[in-house]
Amino acid sequence: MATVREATPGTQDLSTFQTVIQQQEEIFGPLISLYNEGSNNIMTFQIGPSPDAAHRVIIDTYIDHPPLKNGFVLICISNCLVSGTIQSVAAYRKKS
Amino acid sequence: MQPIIRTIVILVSPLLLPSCSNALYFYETDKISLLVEARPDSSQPVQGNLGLKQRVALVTPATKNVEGDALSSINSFRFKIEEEPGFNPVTIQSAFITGDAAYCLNQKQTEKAASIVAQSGELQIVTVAPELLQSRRAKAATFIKGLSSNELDTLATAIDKEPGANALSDILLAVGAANSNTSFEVINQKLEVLFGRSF
Repeated sequence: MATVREATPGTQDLSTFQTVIQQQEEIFGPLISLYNEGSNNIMTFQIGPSPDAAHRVIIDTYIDHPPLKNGFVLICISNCLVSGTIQSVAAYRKKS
Repeated sequence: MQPIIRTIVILVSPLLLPSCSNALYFYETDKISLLVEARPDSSQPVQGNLGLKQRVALVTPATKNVEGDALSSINSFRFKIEEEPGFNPVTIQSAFITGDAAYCLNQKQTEKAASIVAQSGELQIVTVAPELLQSRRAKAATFIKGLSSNELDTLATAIDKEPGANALSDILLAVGAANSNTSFEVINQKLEVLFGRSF
């Protein structure tokens, strides 16, 4: 399983961060993990078929525990920089 | 006491394994200390001291070139202070390559490889691409992911990437980093010349 990692600035708001992830999923394949490193957030993708528009990752912030989302699968959770502040972020993908 | 015993065992173990004449033994310890000193006197600044101690021991088989160095391994080390406002994070990167990869390099290649290996932890930074450009990148990526190994090697060479096992990753990373029409056009033109496909 080939994977690639890319960084994206932690100054971006949640919506922009999500757009970056979705755009890179269109290029590499599905997102498999997120984490923060310094002033950037690091995204890891599995190289393969890209998810269609309806199945690209959506991200949300949470407190304490990532909430379940009806019809979505939890992909990963991590502390990431959102608008320059460390926050708990969960990534979800719509069930097939 | 335990680290000392471990060091001795590792250094002596090659002598206990004479049949493994081609073996290589590598030992590394890293110790980091941080001292921060603050005094009640507000006129005195807070003082900090960061220390790093690295110890590397290597027992390596000699190369065929008896006149040169026994460069059948390369150890690379890099210390970087990030340029950020406020507290500056420190990144320490260490890399180690050996076997044929290290054995077959000349001096210039050795320097280049050591530099690349130590910096391989640096990732490219991507941001949002304009919608139209993203559509072109996505279509190009889909086409690239369908290429054969030989075709990937050819494309990798054409855009100054290394052919081989990582060709697909490197090409896709180049596509993902092409955040302007100009930078994407470099890859697009190669696709048109090599495969007759333009995106």
